[in-house]
Amino acid sequence: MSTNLNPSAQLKHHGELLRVLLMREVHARTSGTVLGIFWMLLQPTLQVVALWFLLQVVLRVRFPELPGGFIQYFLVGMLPWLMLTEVLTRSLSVLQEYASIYERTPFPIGLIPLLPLMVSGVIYTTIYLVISLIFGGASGLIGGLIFMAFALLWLLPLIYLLAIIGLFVRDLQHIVPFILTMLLYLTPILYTPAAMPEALHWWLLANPFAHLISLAHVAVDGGIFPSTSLLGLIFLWFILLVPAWLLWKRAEPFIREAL
Amino acid sequence: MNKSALTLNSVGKTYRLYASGGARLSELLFGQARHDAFVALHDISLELKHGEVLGIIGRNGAGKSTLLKILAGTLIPTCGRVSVHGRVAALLELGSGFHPDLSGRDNVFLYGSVLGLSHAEIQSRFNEIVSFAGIEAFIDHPVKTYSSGMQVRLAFSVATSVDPEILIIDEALSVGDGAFARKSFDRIIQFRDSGKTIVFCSHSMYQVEAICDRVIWIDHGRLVLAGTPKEVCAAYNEHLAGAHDETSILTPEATSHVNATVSPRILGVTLGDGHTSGRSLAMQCGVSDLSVVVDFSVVEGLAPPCLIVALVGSNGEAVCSALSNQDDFNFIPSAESSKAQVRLVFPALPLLRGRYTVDVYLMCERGIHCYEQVLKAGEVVMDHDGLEQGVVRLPHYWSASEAN
Repeated sequence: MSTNLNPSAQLKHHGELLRVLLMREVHARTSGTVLGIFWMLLQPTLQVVALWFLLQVVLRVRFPELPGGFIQYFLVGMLPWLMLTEVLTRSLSVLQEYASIYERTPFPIGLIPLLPLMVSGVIYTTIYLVISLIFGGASGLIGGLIFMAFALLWLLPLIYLLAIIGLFVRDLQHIVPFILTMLLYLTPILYTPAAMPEALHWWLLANPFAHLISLAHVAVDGGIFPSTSLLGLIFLWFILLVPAWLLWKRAEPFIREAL
Repeated sequence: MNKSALTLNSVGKTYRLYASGGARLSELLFGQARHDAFVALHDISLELKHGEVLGIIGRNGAGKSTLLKILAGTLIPTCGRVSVHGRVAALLELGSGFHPDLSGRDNVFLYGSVLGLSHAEIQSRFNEIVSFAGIEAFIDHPVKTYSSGMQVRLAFSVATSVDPEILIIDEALSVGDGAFARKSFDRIIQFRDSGKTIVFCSHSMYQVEAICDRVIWIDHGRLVLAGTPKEVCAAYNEHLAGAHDETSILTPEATSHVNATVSPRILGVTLGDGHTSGRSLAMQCGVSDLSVVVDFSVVEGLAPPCLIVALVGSNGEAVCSALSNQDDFNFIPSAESSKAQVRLVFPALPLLRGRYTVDVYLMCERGIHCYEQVLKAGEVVMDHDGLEQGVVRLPHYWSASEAN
């Protein structure tokens, strides 16, 4: 009776369930608003605008070495980061959020962690493709699409890990946003890697999110991404996939009992 | 009829109780046991053929709901094997399975999908589901705005509209208002008559006997007895009677409104012996007739209800009972009045010395669904001359013949 932790199998067998649940996600975010579904795109856009206003207008941050200017650099890195933080934060509480649906029905619980990934993925990929087209033309558009697909796939083991750990250790819901904020400051999104103090350059190598954001820049702006970084990200993905799969398999029979 | 719908082989369930979520996670990660165990089910084996109706009885906490959840696939057994052959629809704690923020319409599609229907299949049954639940006007409102009765009706309607091969029902038959409860009964009886497999858990022995082909009695997570409804219910009743508190007294509060809205209701019960009437009578064995007059309301559109009156001894065991439908007593309430009165007479009441209470049940016309029950509605204190022992003076005679 356990659920197959294989997203493609989940999608194939439970397409209708996912459709209804995704509609619920859209409805929950937009119900009672005048602009309705547009808010799903407008809200992250406004978030980016607010940050741009702070950095560009108030603090007057300038990076003359950036060929496309700071705004391009900022948007290409910030949008994937916003998606990533939204997905990871929601993963922590998603099993509790949907408890009423699966608690007393044979609902395939393995679908639930996919929901934040799918919803945020659709929203941010849409915005990202527009940005990629503007800054990178047709090649930027294709690069942006490939990057977002890679980023979403890369998040897969993390969302299952966080969903289970977040259900059992609810303190994480308070601490993870802080960790993500610190990670934002320690990842070259609001500044360039060169602006980081030399003593902290080891961190740029150790921080997988820094590699991920570098990949975003290469995908949209062009350039050569170091193959070691890409291999490192893929290696980390496999490293995370094993504990995620094992933990989910062990925990799934007890999820309903843990509510 | 000869293929297995459900098979349980040595199924057991042990709940793990943790001091904190961290302890649970630590055990999952490192494998070191950090839980207390509570065994809810021990080694249950049973086989249910297609078309059979199985009743599960037992006290609260006996393990009935755990067993139903395992059958429904919402709990995974700790040991043993469960085989289910056919589409299962489960009504476990009605109203659950809905997301409160979604509209009734979305929840129908969601619940239908969980039960294995495609979008097109749900669409084709949608109008029937909503119409059966009687919530057409609210179907696009969020479920969180529904009353519990509306949620119950919608959940029942979806679960029974998906054409399940196996229907699992946990205490669901006495929910909703009178009209809906009757409709739901009719649907369950239709399921039974059309050869569907039903697993039915109830505290009502009457319903279990009326509906089930086979009954199992579970106590402390163990299978105590399996057999025909008659023998298992009798053994269970005997067991309960042994545990009955003999000091219970007649209290006017002992009324249970099983369905509080839009149901026929008992308005009053009066006992009489031809000379006096009231809630408590002192009578002499075999001398006076005991009359039990029941006033009740009737609801337009519902068939006239059936009445059950039981005389219960001080040990809690029923001495005798009378069922109006079984006695072919039919009455047609006046079209103008919403009230009716029925009188039951026990001629020359032959009960021996002791205190007896009168329980009254107002049932649907089939005598299955209980609209309302009034336990200890009245009391009869019996006395008799002579030294006879027991509870009843049966008609008898003596004869003698010459011994060789």
